[in-house]
Amino acid sequence: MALVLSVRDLSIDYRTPSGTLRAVQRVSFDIGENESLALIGESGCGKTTLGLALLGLLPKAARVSEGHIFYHDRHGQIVDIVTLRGEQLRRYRWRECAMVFQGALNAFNPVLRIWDQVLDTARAHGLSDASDIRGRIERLLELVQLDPRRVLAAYPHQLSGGMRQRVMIALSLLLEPRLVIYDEPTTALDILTQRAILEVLRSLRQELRFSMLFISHDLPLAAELADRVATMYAGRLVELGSVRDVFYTPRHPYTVGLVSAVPPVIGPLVEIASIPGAPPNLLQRPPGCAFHPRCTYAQAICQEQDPALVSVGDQHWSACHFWREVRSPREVLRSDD
Amino acid sequence: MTEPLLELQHVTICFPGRRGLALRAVDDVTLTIDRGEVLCLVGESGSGKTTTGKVAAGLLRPTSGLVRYRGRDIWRADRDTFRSFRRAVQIIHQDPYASLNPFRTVFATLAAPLEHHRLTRSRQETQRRVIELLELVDLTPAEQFLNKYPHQLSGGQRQRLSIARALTVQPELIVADEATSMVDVSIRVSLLNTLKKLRDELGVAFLFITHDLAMAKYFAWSGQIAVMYLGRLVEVAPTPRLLAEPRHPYTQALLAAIPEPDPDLTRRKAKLLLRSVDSPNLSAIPPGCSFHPRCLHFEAGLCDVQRPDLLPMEPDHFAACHIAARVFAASRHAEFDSSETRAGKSDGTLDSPVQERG
Repeated sequence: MALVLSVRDLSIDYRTPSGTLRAVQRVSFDIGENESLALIGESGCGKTTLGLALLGLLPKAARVSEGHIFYHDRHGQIVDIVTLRGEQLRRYRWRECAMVFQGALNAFNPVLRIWDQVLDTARAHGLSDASDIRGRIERLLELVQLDPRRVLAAYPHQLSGGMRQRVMIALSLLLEPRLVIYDEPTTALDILTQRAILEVLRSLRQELRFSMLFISHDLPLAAELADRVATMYAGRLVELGSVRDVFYTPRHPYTVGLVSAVPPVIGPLVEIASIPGAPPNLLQRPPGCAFHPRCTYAQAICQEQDPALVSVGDQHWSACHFWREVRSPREVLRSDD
Repeated sequence: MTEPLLELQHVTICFPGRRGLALRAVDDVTLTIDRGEVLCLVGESGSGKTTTGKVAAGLLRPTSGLVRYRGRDIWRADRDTFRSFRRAVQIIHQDPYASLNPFRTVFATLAAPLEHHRLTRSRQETQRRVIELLELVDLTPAEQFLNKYPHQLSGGQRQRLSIARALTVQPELIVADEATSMVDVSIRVSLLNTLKKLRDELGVAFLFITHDLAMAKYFAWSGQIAVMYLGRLVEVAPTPRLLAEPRHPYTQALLAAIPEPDPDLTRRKAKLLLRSVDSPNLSAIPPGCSFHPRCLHFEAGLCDVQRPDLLPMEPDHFAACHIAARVFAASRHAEFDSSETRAGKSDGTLDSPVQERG
């Protein structure tokens, strides 16, 4: 599979009044062409910071302290996003890689009609022919099941949350990027609207063939849309594998905990369980494996050595000293297939 | 003493809207909660579930309709009855940070209502009771929390503190409004388990308000779910039945639409069971059945004209849908006509929410 992005040993630090905080620690992963990867984890695990870094959009207090973000462009050239500045970075954003933020509902200028905002965005990124832009956005709006004439003439407040989110998704594809990052794309939307957006994303990807990175705390979203899933905990990637491997045979206790905490709605009542304790404060990261204070598999070695991400199966990696022993509680329930 | 703990009867709430038009946030809602029972109110934003919760907790007086606590109309009762009702029904909000006083320590937060209501007689007794309450909500070791301020607690711990505060006055019913939706997935379950423990050990009844059907299923498995849409109740049934055999097309669409935390299961689910994605605005509620513009089973001249009543499909399973009622009546009829005893269940369902995707 041809690659679009390879992240290698990426670490990101924040300067805070109480010292340096490592939000992302030596994270490595790839995203292939037309592949969908979900990055899941809880608040404060570093997933949004990582997403911002992929676009060179880190806030001033943050910096990449080590590692690379290699982007493989359409012509087979490889650029390290970490080294890009100014105009180069602007050309990369939107044209190569776009991002739809969590607060997308508020991303519009309230006093401009949608069409004017589309035009602004397109011009800022080098498109100039208005009729070409019009044609592109109309097609995209139709793909996300919106009426282009009505939507383009509307002001943001005249559209519902779900409609604005679909406009953002259409807009993110305007310059035909090869990778789109969606940060909590369906949070705060109603279930029926959320379903509509999921269907839209699925059909868009079939039609336009681009790669997606989802950043979410929402496991069902990952189950629905991802080809592969990466779990993050306290700034580290702790598990990476195909969506079926990660959900059905997770090999990191934290992933097991996440999966066991979210019950399916359809079907009989299944046992669900919490992970004891709370996520750590990154200024006081526990020594060794950051998950050890909450882990039922933890032994002495876990307090001393931070486990490396090792191969635990075909295209499946886990950062746990005891991955061989890790069992998913739902494995028993699924023994029939 | 057989009357229910709390009843809402034909409760309607109107808010003043733009241009003098009234917004009907809650429309003719009738609900009953018995002692120690769990009723889960499920709906999306704008469905009126939070407003209904506020009515149940006595924070909002209905525009029309009755709220009865132990059989007595609380808005026409004497002061003492109203006060004992307000103590018996406590509400927990979504955002514990907004509802806790940031300048009060954990101890002060819990001691204030205890002393205000003269529930403890001495400082030692207050201290003892505060520790008991903290242990009840699993904030342990309790001594370590006494002198902390809300900002020193995690989101989950703050929510536990607001639960403990609700418990100071020994309520009979807790209205929990999205009480678990702001905490992280990994700690949500333990918070729910704490609430379950209160139900099992103290016999506290719950009106559990949520948009999350997975949490509703887990918390209210032995209780009931009531589904709200645009201010109206559209379906009420025991939880396992509502999830397995939803009768209202809106409930069916919801259950079909929810992504599941299981890749195979979720990808087998039906596509959107809707005619239209976009939800109507509360200021322009469609006539007849308010779900008709989005409903796959819509029948012109019926659904857009006549408002369906919430009718029993089974003794304890209610739905407000013309089509479901007709399908159900036909199945009953067929059952009645048939001379054979039917071994299988009567098939009154419209569509199964889980369909193979073509």
